[in-house]
Amino acid sequence: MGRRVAVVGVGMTENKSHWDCSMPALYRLAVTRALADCGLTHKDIQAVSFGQSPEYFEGINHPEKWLAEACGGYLKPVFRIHTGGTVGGSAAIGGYYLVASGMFDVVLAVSGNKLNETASAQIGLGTVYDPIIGRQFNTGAPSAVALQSLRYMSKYGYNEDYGIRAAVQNRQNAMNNPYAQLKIPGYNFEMAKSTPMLCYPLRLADMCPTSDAACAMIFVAEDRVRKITDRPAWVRGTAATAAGVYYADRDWAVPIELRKAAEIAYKQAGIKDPLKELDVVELYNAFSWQELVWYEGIGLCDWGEGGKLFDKGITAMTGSLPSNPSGGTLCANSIGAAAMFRKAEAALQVMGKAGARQVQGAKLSLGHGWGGAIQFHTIMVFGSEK
Amino acid sequence: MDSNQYRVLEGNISVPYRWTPGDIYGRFLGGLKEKKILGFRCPECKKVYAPATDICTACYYGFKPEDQVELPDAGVVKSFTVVRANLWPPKPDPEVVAKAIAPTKLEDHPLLWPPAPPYALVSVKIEGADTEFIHMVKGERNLGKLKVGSKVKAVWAEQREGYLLDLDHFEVA
Amino acid sequence: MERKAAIVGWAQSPIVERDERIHKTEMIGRTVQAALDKSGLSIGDIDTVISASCDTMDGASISNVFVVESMGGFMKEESKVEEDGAYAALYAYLRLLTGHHKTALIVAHGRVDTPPQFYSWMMTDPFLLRPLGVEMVSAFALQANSYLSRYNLDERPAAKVVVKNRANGVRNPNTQVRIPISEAEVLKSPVLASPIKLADASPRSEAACALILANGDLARKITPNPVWIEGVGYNHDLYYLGHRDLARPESLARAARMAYAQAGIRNPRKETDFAEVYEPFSFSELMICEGLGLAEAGEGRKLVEKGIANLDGAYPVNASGGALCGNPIFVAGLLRMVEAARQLTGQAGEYQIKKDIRRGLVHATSGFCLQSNIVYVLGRDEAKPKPVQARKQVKDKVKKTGKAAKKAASRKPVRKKKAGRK
Ligand SMILES: [Zn+2]
Repeated sequence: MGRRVAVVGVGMTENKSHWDCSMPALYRLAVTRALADCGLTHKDIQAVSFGQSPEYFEGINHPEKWLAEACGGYLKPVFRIHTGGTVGGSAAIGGYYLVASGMFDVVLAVSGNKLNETASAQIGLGTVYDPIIGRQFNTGAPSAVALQSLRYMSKYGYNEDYGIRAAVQNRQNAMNNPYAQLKIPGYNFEMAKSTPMLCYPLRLADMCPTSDAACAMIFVAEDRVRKITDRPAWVRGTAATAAGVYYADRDWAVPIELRKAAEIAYKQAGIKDPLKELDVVELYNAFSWQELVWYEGIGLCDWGEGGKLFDKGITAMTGSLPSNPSGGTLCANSIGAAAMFRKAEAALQVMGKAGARQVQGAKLSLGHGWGGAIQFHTIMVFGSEK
Repeated sequence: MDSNQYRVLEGNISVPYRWTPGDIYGRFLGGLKEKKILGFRCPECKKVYAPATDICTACYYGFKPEDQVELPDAGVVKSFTVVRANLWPPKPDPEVVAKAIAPTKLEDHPLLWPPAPPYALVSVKIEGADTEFIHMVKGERNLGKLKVGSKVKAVWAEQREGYLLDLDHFEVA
Repeated sequence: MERKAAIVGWAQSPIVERDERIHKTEMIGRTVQAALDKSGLSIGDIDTVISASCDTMDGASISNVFVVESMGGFMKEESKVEEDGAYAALYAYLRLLTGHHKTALIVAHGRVDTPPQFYSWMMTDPFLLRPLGVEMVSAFALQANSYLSRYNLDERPAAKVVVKNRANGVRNPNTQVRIPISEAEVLKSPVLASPIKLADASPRSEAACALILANGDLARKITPNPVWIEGVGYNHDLYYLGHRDLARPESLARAARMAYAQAGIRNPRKETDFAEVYEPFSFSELMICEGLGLAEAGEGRKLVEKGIANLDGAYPVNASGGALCGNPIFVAGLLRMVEAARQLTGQAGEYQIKKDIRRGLVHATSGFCLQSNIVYVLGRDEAKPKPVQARKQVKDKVKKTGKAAKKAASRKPVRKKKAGRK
């Protein structure tokens, strides 16, 4: 199926308020780090797959028009992908297709957002709601996910502590990640449980922070890989799927479109039992409960078993399938870059370049992205072997 | 009963922004406050960018503060357009606009809504720069004299605060 | 020459200034259904859906959230390109080239939910252009003046472009402005921003458009007249208007070179037969024709002065009337592909090019002053277009191909479009 493609370089900016740099400078920082990571220069880049989330975040329509040159896209083929929260994943997948199709050999995928340019990202997120039916009680993302979370809790009888525990696990992992935003020494269950309830069942601890960040990945065709690096992350499977918002029998606790994406990606990667075969997963858990829902979505366990899987400790750093060694989206969420961070972290794991958050001997990893009105999902599976 | 009224739901989106210029755009805008046009010289290709951008695109070089050069506040018109019609929809109540689509500082910058026509958008090559500066020429007297190749000089606003329109407009020399 | 994927079906909603009777999802749903009907496929036969739309235009963040079902993206591999629909077609084409997918549906929709001036003003950066109120008309006017002064031209050649396109538009039942205009009327029309006059500008429009692409073998089974993508190229220039040469859009020349290299074209004027280009303003068409290599730099005017670009000329440009007769943002470029496909399959009706045509150029642009451009070379099979078969037969043929047949059988029920008001 197409040409084999590998990720050879990854560049990340820190997730924080970048008060000291403009949007082009932020993007450039990620891109220069990705180029340095694999020893390429901007001249080697043949095309750019550009991602950024809703324009209302920064108030700039068609941001790629302004920002692409800061990504080395001057007089190169550039197009922008925009799929909401999944955009980082969608842009990475766009980068994959640009190479796998045979059109280009070396492609840069870059995605980011500077959420601190707006007074509140929730105003921008509120404009996701349908203007005719929904925006009248425009409530941003947390309340929509609160509905999803309560649905999940009540459907399967999990108590409130599961979300808190998932949050704590991620926050503790984030201590190993130099790019994460929320790094609280000694973070524990009591601290999380004592945070204020913002919208039931979500406490402050259940939510992601607001970050400025960009992330870049360099995709290279099979025959160019060995010259660039001896530690590539081979793309083994990709999928980006959509469900809807209106469809009948929709159950927010059962993301059927994520299951479908996983099935497509596993088929491409030749994975039959993801729980056994995968070595590490990076999930887009912008809210704590989603960690459990996504376990089920990507087929690590049956519907409703996510909490039980968590109980077994399998997904802890010490378990057999660590989830979010980086601390996940719960500890850093720029929206535009977040889904690409998941892919990039997954790639770094199989490259063996994840530093203090490295899962030893990781050979097969999965990076996930979530977006839209809880309806878009992206998955990339990376392997240290072709 | 036909309950459909074929009507349009009117609304607007109000989002306040606070854009970060960073060091390079920031210096350029700060220069305007001091009635100076600052350029940035790429150490690799020696081209001078005025107005500023964060990078020299051809070299993919990220400008640093030390690349800053001071340029005269005069240049040559390379292209222009005289805007004769109000290209914008009728200007709504300023309060509505401030709430609806414009950045928070609209009150301070009435020109954020384009000036009433006629005015000219001009592309000016500042002396010593290798790029052109998009700005305005205003006033019928100036517009009448405007040609490709006209020499123009900056007219500075009385009140300046590090914003593009600290340079109020260019006048034809 | 590559012949790996082809256009096998399409549909558009008629371009109108504004249709307040229908909701966006109805406009899109009907268009997609019409495209499926035309190609004899059902939504279950579609492997991937790529859409094109704009948050700022729709006044809604992630503007595909609420329309993904009406465009047939439910439980599909889906993505959205926030560029003209012609870029969505490019992404779909890339997906077909990998073999992961065999059929792709491309959907573009553009509704004027916000005034186009806001849409384009929002494209400006906050520091250097936004305070000046730069928007589409004034930016393109600045470019037009750069072009005219570079080559010492007056405004008449552009007026001739308007006359030509408007004359063609009269013949196109799907376009918006269908009133002929004379050169004198164009030159006398009120100045918006010199040198652009009211008649030089494209109208405010809305429409939806759907296009279906299929892999090589499958394409022949779906239609007797596949329109092949023989080459595609795209490129992106600098953002700031003062940083690039507005008179000669370099990204266009590079996009064209990339497409021609794939299609094995050395001389586009000789080796292709017509062009459909996305000209937001009359002056742009002259510059685009030059960028495509159809004329020397500064000599695009000869195409209109000598009648070469006319519908009955040696090299028709915008036989459909182009964007000057209807410019739904985000759709206009994809519509150029549809118009070229109509021409190549002999389905353009009143505005069918009479001479024998085998290959056409398609161009689309996005950004200020032709910043980003995409160029396609589309071609038909050697033989003359065959009469279109009855839909039933086509459907049977598709059913015989393994995967599509299986998919169609197992497909999920799709929300039926309500029989809409007319
Ligand atoms: Zn340089």
